[in-house]
Amino acid sequence: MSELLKNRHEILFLYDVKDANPNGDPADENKPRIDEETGVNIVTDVRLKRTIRDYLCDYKGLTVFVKEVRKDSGDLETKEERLDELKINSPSDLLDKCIDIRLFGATAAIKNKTITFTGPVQFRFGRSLHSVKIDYVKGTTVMPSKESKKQGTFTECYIVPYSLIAFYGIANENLAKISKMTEEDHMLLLEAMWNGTKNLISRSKVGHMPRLLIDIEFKENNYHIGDLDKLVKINSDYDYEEIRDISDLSLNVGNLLDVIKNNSTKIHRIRVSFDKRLNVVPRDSWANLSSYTGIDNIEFLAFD
Amino acid sequence: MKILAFDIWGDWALFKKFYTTASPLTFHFPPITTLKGIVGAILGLSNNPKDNNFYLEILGDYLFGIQIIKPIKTYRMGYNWIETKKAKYMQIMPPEKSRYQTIIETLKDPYYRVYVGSKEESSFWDKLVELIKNHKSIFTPFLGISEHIAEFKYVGLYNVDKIENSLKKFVSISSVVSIDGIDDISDFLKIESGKVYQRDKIPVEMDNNRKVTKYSTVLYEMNGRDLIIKLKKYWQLENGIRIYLFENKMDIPSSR
Repeated sequence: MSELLKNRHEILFLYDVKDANPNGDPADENKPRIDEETGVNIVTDVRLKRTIRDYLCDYKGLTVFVKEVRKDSGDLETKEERLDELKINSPSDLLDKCIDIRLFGATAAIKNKTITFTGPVQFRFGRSLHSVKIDYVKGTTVMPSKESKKQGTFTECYIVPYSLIAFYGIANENLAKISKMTEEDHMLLLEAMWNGTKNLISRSKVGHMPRLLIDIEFKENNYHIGDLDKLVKINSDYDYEEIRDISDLSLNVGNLLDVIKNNSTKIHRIRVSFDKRLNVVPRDSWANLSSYTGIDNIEFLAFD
Repeated sequence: MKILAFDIWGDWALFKKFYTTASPLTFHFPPITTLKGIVGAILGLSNNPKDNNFYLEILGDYLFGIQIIKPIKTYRMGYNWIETKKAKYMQIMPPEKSRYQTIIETLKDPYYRVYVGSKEESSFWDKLVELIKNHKSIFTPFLGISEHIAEFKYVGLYNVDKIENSLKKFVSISSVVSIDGIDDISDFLKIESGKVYQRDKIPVEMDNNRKVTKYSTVLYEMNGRDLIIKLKKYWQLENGIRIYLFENKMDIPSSR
């Protein structure tokens, strides 16, 4: 097993959503979540964590704890059955086996097996970098809802035509000691954010694309910059609600690079993954990242 | 006595009210017990029951004050929860009953100034000042729940004087105040037009099992403006700002 997470990390992750529902509000007809005051689209942290868990489990074959597992009867497994199936007898077994508990922690009141871990990795709710439009789509199905009906039924759903969403997160090395999160787990987390987002292909989610992932690793103890998501802004020739594609906008990372430069003595390494279709200002940001930030230790990640 | 002031803010906050474990309402600011948790996280103190909630022991004698800086705004956030109530061991329920939807009141764009004082010098106090001055925290501080990551900023370290027996004089107070022991607030508060006054009851002290042992009735202005009020005691900072601090051993009897 690789060594425990050594340093504090700060993560900025941008993805966009086209003609889909990034995260429905179950208390509001499953409409995309909107901050009514600003028109900004909101995505909960648990949506992103679900993406990460599903990727780690379904594509990487790792054990994740928080997962709907159906029994043959069609019922969902209970937590107790899941613990027995995974042969988990103690909290430390749980940490050894389940990567999602090492990353995100867990609180569960299970008889004789109570576990409480605060996860080292925390994400804020994601927010779109612009106000979004919501579309109401009506359609018809070809399958009738009941036998002996002659026609299909109507369907309806809410989507956003376009939303560029920023997530901000922190991985805390002191909590990693408690939950046993490793360096390898951290790299898997980054991969799962990128590839897991690309792999969202259910009907309501198809149309997700990761665009930018920046992982800042600090060498200064117990320090992080904070509010990274507030340091990037978009520019567009269109009104924000009329943006329909990544090519309709550019992302200004000037502030972010300046702040990184101001903190360069505290930073050990920057890891970056970017999509070529994302226009950034300044235009040559990625090619000249070292000179813009004063940091030599830069690693470009390619997950494909 | 010295007092440390720092600002704390985030996109969202949820300080659940204590009526039920799944209470859908939030306090408008972090109650004193929550402030102890936030400061405990910055210091990296254990909140594990096995350690008897060490942070409560260390911070037990600290004084805390809270000032609302930006107007209180709430947002009704829909959540999809897993039903655990009917299940014996919090198991996941069969699909048709497995989820239920609830709306949780959440604070939007919360921004506060926190005041922390210690009557006695201690290594933890010195460490806290150092950490906040250098924008450092051992654990990641958050506003009520872990996804509402908090950002913070050092404001200053001030000499502060406790002013007592001043019930006859109206003073301008910048922070949330306790009105324990005051039966008719109209005798003590100068009501001004344009201000929105709010009264609430917050937890102040917990024992080592996190059982609340003291509540306090508080008064505050929703937009973070000063209260013109007569108080039995308040604290004056060297820069002239007056605030109220919640002491661990409050000498005023609980009003109700």
